[in-house]
Amino acid sequence: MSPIDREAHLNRWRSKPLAEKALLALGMLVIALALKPAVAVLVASAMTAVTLVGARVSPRLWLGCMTAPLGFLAVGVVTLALRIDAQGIGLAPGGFVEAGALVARSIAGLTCMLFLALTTPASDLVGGLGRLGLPSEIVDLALLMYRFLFILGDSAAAMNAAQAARLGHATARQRVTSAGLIAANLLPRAIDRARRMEIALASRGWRGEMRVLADRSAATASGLAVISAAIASIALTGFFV
Amino acid sequence: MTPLMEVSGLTYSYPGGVAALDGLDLRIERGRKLAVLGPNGAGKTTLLLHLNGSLRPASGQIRLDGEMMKYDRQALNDWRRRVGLVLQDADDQLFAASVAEDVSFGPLNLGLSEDEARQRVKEALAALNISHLAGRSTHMLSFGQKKRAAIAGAIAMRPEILMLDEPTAGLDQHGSALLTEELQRLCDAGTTLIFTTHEVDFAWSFADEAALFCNGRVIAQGQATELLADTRALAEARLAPPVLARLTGVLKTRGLLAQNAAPPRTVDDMLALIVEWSPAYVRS
Repeated sequence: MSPIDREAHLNRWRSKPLAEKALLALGMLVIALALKPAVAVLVASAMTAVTLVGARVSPRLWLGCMTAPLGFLAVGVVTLALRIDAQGIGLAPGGFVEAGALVARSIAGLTCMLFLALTTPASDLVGGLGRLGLPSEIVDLALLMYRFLFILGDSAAAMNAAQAARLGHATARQRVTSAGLIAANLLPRAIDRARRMEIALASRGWRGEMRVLADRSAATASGLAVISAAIASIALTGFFV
Repeated sequence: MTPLMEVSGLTYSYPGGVAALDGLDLRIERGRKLAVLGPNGAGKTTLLLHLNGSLRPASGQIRLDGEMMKYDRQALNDWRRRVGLVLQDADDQLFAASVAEDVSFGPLNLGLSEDEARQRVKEALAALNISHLAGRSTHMLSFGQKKRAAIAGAIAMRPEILMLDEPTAGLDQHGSALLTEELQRLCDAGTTLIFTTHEVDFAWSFADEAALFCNGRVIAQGQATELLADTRALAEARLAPPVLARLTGVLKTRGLLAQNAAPPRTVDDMLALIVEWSPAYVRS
């Protein structure tokens, strides 16, 4: 299982209403991108605090998730700050300011997205999209795919271990062959499994609609108001800094 | 009295022509625990899939409460409401994101209101001692927990007959003992149980009745403690007698147990019998 998915299920804010978490993440994202870079700095600090202190997401995992995108950001910053022309390499005029703004906005955006990803399981998000009007066929399919992802992932991991145990990964050439064999084996397995699942669902009276009782906490007006106020106050503070 | 379910002359071939069922007969009495015993690959799962209409036989009949089962949509819905199925691999059955959601699937398909469905979910989870897992994600469960969740999903529909494919396969001793207790409680509450297994010892300790399945037929059906002591019938189905059945047999022929002593179903029963029947000088 992916550590991100695991954290999304086990963090302290797992059962907070989806609408509240989504409003917080997307609202903060919008002001970080639309307003002054100073706002982005405030958003980044606020969302980091909310994620690590509020939802108690593991800081190690959070840092790990931040690292990869920061690598891309570093490359982008260098190209913005430096100028290459006939005289050689030099600093771009205004490049530092631009690069600083980019860094602030990117990190702020990242903290917003990570907050949502690490506090809310993908299945909740898909379910939420369903309530927003995404057709139920697509929602059901996405949820089944989400479920199968883990089952097939486990199968693939087991096959991989079995191959390694029989020296299937000894050379680069064998590694490629072995990976191909896994891919070729997963397809029929997935189809078999889908057939069995169809039987199991039909045995429980399935007639084409995947209706389940989702006991989720509903967003409260006061919760949404508090979050909106927090977003507004950060936006305003940014103007006076 | 008409049996709860009566199967006669069932035949079925897999696509490709291999015969899986070849004139199979089976009787299921109300409130009993029936073990369908047979070696791996005998077609036990195929049989269960016939008993709730998932597979349609080439010929033969299935009667539920004396009434012949049909295969139109309405009849199948009714059939599956009355006969629940738990597959061997719980991952084939759990599809929803959380345990409670998954268990609510069947009750909602029955057309129950959300409140009723919620009540059913609560009861089913409590019956299998997994109330604490209600909100847990289905892919974050242990093997035994998945199995319980799958069974809860079936019993939340309150079937008259619950069919389980290899219920103890892959469970450790403790998990298997707990599951047995939970299944016994279901049975005490009136649910008829049918389960497939190749573990003769489990069948001996738990089943009321046994059916030996071999070459697409039930070659013998009867009281578990009688049939599973029948070495010849067992050998025909490529099964060995349960340890306690063999021990009982030997002790009786040696005169160490009364001929009319009830066969011990558990090791504890056996120990009690041995103590009771051993000569006084051994006991002291």
